[in-house]
Amino acid sequence: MKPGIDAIQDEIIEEFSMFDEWMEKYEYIIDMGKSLPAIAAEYKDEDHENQRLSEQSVATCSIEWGSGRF
Amino acid sequence: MKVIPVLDNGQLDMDVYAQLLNEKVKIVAVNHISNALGTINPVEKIIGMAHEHGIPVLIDGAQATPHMEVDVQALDADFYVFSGHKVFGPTGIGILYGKEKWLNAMPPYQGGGEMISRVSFEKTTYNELPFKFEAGTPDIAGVIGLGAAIEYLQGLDMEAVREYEHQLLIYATEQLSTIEGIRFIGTASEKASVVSFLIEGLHPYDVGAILDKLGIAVRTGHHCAQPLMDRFGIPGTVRASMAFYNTFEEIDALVNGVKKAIDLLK
Repeated sequence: MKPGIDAIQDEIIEEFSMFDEWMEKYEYIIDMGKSLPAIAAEYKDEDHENQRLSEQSVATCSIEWGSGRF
Repeated sequence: MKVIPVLDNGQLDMDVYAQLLNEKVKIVAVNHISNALGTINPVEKIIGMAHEHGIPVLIDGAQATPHMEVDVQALDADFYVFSGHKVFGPTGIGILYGKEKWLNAMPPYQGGGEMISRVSFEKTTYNELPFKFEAGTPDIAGVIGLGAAIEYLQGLDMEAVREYEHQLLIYATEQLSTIEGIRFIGTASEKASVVSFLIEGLHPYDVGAILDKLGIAVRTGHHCAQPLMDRFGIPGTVRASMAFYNTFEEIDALVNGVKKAIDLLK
């Protein structure tokens, strides 16, 4: 069974509690972002643009286990 | 609507402007200082050229009024506007200066108390200026607040303010230039104390978010000037705008902050 949202939140809070400084938290999450695979080229179009951020930011979402994933 | 093009350095293309002026033009509207680039536009020349064709000119002085002395009569501006919050006053209120001949020729844009002189079913006579344009209960608190802000500004030596802010601009430009990958947007010869820039490979929002966490307030994004951003082919900029209360040490903090943002994001 998929863990609930509360359990996921607690896990994230615990993971980030090892850092004292905001900059360390930012570094950690930026490094995690860099390790992710790049978004598929098919989503790099106007339909997926963040209108506030313009063409440098695209997003897509899917439904998995009843939850939206971005 | 016709648009005066902007050159690569952020100055208006005055040659094209001259060509755009003809009998079809009803009004020329231009900002005194570009909020996005800091360019100080040659408004006196712009007004003079338009007047040669009998065209009235509206100047948006929102960015100029807190940074320099403005004399609407010397400029011969037909209309000059600015907002309260840009002169350290209240939000939601501003000033519209207009030559009497234009204001008398214009109909009221709102109805309400005080803007009429006499009303009957046969005829309505509007009140005299400025009441014709001030329908209903005015923003009394805002007016008093704006008046206090303008009095405060008028108590300053605006020539000294302009010179000090110019020194801040020179220092900020020099110091930021030492950062690898920085690109300035707006490098006109006549500039107010605004530095708009991009860091190669980084989104301005990301740089702004890190600067914000460091306690440095910059504006990021398109600065309500999307067509201008399109002109430069960019999503937006990071913009540091300085006023007479800023210091050289704060510019050092900005430069160090940008360097930290680069370390973190690259």
